[in-house]
Amino acid sequence: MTAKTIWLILRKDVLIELRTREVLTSMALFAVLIVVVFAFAFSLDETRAKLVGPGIIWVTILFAGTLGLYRLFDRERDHAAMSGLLLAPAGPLAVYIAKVLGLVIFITVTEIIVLPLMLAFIGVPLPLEGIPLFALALLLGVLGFSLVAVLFGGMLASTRLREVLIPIVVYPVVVPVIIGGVKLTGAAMGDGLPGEADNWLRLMAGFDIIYLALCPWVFTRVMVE
Amino acid sequence: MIEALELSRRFGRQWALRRFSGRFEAGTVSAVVGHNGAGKSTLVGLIAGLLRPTEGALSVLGHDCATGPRPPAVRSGLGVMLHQPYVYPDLSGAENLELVSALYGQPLTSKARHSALHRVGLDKAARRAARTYSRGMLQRLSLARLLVQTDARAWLLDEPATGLDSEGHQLVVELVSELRDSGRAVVMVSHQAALVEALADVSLTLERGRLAS
Amino acid sequence: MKAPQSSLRPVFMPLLLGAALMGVIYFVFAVTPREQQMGEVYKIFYFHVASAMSCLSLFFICAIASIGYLVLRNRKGWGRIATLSDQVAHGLAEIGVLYGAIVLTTGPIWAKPAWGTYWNWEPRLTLLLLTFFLFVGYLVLRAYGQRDEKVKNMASGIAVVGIPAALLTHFAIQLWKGGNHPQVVTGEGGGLADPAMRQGFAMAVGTVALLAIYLVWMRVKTHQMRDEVEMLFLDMSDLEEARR
Repeated sequence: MTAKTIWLILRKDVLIELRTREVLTSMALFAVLIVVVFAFAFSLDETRAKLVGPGIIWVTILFAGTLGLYRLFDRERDHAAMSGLLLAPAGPLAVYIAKVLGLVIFITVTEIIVLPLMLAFIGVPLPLEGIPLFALALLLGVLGFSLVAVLFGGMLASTRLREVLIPIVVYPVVVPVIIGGVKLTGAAMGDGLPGEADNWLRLMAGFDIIYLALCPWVFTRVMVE
Repeated sequence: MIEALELSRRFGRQWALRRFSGRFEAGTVSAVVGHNGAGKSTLVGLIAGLLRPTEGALSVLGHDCATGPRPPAVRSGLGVMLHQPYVYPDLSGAENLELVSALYGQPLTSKARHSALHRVGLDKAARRAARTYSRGMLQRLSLARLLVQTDARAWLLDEPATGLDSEGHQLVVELVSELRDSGRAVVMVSHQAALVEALADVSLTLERGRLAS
Repeated sequence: MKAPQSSLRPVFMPLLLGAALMGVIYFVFAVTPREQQMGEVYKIFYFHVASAMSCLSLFFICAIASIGYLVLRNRKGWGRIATLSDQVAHGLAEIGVLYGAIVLTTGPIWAKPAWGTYWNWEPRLTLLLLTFFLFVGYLVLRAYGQRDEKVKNMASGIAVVGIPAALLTHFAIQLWKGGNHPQVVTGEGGGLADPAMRQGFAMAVGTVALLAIYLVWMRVKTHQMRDEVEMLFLDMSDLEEARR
């Protein structure tokens, strides 16, 4: 029942997205704009690009991801659709998992569109042998961010101050993931000490595992009165 | 089927609903009437499971539902039609109906879907995005759920005739009568006297959160 | 309802705590030796670290109380304890944020002579800053949502999620910085060499913690009083209805 409901909600979100292209367009456009602004703000050259490039990539993921999160739950606010989903037999757990998967997919697709552009704009060379590590970092980081973001996004979607409150509570929690992501991206670009990457991978995997266990527990208890 | 005993719910300094007791039996249409702010929506929220009672007991389909998460049997056995139609504007009417029906574990054959949409008068608009629908059409789409969610043994209807013309009213009367005749319990919240007159076997009046005697 | 309290009690604790605080301040400034490099500014360290320890403990206990609330609120017969843990969690968060503000203001005052900068992304300070933000969000939510059931749930959720994040952040920043920060209290940095310093530090920690407990208790009582007032309004409406 739960698995089927997850699939139904996810398919619905993807279907609506294919039809309107609202979320992906706004996320990708926003991400590109952030990169362009950063490129001017830091007057990037080759040495500086290597220094701040990983940071720019992760800030972009964070902001574009937040935008995607808002859009993903805006959809459930029209016509009180969230109540409809929560009342369905599978309950809040299915809603949570479906929305996490949805956000991971949306951020990943945005990254696939935007990353080549980003690397070109910032001018960071990503060597071919660094790509697997970079991809792994992206996967772990985006999952960690989505686990926390969907919990708070879903919880606070009905409050008046959501645009302010969601970043206030999401960003402090995902700091370890951002630091880890930046460090691993640096390592993928051939920066940092050898062996250091393993520690960061462990940290990010640990984060994901902890929140994979904790967030569904909290979500199911918070969303039902 | 649904039984409330001394059910109360507070919001801050006010009782939105106070000591509401009532039984809603199978094969009966019970109307809950009252002015705005009389506690009708609170009662709907409590029975639906969106709100938790402050005090009192509530049993739905034989399960204690006053506190704690509800078992799936209750969730699929209780059909809820909230005041706001549960509709995604970017999906078509047919897709919306399919989604709801699948969420409740009842895959919809295209024949059943067609006949349900035909019944509520949306067969021509079935393929259009729901955002192009008028309020009355959205309400008709919600009413189609009454036809496809056949597992529901009890129905909770919040203002089922919102935005409908006289033909739509007639449709509501027919659909709800059919639910009653098939032995389902129907709790209908409405302030439309004509609808209550036409349908209700039992009528309860709420005044400032309390049952009027 | 409760019997009226004796008029002595509300004065007793503030007097005691005031005296204890004065004692600690006297001890720290008059008895403990001057630190050689930093001079008098070093004295703020006693209160900075003591507040930080209290602050993080308050947030931590708040998370535990919030777990308690989320677990118990739907159990039959546990309603009273669930309400109490929610009130306690709210009070802990409020005083925790107050203490966090103290730590974050005294930090730079101490950091300037100690490290030469006003701010240093030192693991413990960073984790405190981030948890502080999280609990500011907690209080904003509480303030705007009044005492709605849903708001209680959401606030508890925020507190619960914050704790593993704090630990992971600490770990992450240690990894990031490579671990060359002063360990004054654990002794590696050698800050608390003098026994009088250690005594002063212990006194500061104890007093600041006692003050925190007292303040939390006061806040909890305030929240309980507010709930009681609301209950009285509800009772009143019942009476009015009965008279009709």
